[in-house]
Formats: sequence, structure tokens, C-alpha cells
Amino acid sequence: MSKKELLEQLQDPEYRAEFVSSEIDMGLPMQLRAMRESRGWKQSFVAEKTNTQQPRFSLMERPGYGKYSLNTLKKLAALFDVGLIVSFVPWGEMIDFVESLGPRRLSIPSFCHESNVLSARYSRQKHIGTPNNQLQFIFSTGQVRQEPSIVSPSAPYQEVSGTKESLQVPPEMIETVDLAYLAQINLVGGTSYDTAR
Amino acid sequence: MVNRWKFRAAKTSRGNVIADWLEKNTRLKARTSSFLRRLRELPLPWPPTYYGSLGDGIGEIRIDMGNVEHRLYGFFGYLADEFTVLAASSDKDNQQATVQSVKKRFKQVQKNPVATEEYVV
Repeated sequence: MSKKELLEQLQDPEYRAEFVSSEIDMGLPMQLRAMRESRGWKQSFVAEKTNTQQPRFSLMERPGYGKYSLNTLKKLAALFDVGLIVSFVPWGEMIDFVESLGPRRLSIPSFCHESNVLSARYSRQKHIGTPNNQLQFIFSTGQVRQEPSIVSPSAPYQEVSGTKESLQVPPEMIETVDLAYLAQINLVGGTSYDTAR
Repeated sequence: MVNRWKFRAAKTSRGNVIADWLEKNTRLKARTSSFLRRLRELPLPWPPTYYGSLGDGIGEIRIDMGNVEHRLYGFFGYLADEFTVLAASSDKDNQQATVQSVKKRFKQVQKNPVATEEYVV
């Protein structure tokens, strides 16, 4: 289903409510099963580690189960060593999330398995948060291969060899800088910013 | 890398068997979509909670919601990475009868392929 088709379905308020509910109730159990199986764990092991009973955990893995407490989810996230986001989001973000579903959204790797990939990615993509909403893009033009870096004025500067010019982005422009834009500007450096959610 | 499964559904006079089945049940429609969106990413064998073989070449996709067992009956094919749905049911009492009729239909389908369309989730 295209995003446009999904948006058409979401015009119905009743469907919108059921859509949100279903993504949680069907999505979490299927993720849990995929993560457990990819680690070679038995249900009884996860149940024991999260202070629950195996039959109870078996229910949690059954699509349609929608009775997780936040506390349970946090325990499971800690055990599987994965991130957990519980947050209200705009519809556009929800649609993007659903449309980007893939195998890697089901079986989430643990921090240990992911950290090497992240290290490599972040070493190429110098992106540090800015407390004053001002980003500075420094374009290294003295190198054979141009690689834009984003640094924060308040954070310790990272030396970029061969830097000849810099570009200040006014604060009013910052609101228009979204992930897709960041991905676009990163293309020069060969870094693909993962916008899939 | 696992190919994404596609779901096909036998055409009916109003649309197809899945769309007809979900027509008036918003909740089931949303749940079925959420479920199939994830199931299509999984390699075979699908876990028994999600799918069961019924013999004679057909199987059922299991979408359980509390005490109601929703089923999509069909077979793997016609093409690779496709599952074709011949019937859908939420009626536990008549499951056996439905399974028998699906098996019968599958035999006919093998001789004369039925008109299907992709059910996009």
C-alpha cells in the first residue's frame, strides 16, 4: 500500500484509532518473537529474566496481545538490550514508520551487535546537537573528496583539515532542516543517513 | 536477504475474498494489515502461531484476536514469494467445513487457475 493509499484509509477516524492500536498490538508481539528467536532464547528464559511466567510470556508473543505495561516493556528492552521509544508522533511519522517496515524492524539487534556499525557511521558523520538551535556546516574544500561536517558551536570543535570556508545557517532555516535534508547533504561524503524509522 | 512476500486474493464479483471479508470490520481490517505487513517480511517456515499447514497443498494464516480465530486459507503460489488466499473466515464453528471447501477449490484451481489480484498491505 502506498503512503497515499494509507492516508486515504486514515481519513476515517475509527480506522485511525484502530490503526494505532493494531500497530502496537500486532507489532510488539511479532518483534518480541523475532528478537527472541534470533538470539536463540527460549520463552522460559525470557520469562525467568523478566520475572514472569512462561505461559504469560507466550501470550505476550501472540499477535493481538495489547496488555503490556510500560514497566514490562522497559524490562524487555533491557533484557534484549535494544532501544525503546514510547512517544506520540505526528501522522506523517507514523505513516513513514509503517511504510519502512522490513526484516530489520522485526528482529532488532542488541547494542553490542549494533555498536560497531554505529561507530563506523558516526565517525563519518560528525553530527553533534546544538543547544541554541544553530547549526554550522563546514565544507572542507581542500580535500580531494568533499565531506560536509556538522558541528556545534558550543561543543568542542573537531579539526577538519584543509577547511577553507564555512557556512552559517540562520536559525530560521533550522526548522526546515529535516532528516531527509540531512541525508541529502550527506551524500557528498558518501554517508547515507538512515531515514527509515 | 529475504524477499518480501506478496499476498494475492481470489477475485469476487465485489472485489476479492480478503477485501470482502474485511469490508465492514474496521478493527479486523487494521489488525490484518498490521499483521500481514510484518508476516510478509518473514522467511519460511512461518511460526505455527502465524501459519499452519492443512495438508493437500493448502494452509491457513492465523490472525487471532482474543477468543476469535480469524483465518486466511490459501496456498503458496502461483509465483514464488506469493501466497494466494482462496477464502477467509472468522467462524470457528464452521472451520472444518470451510477447510474442506477450500481443499476442493484448490483442486479446481490447479486445473483452471482462478482469477486473483494482489492484496496490498
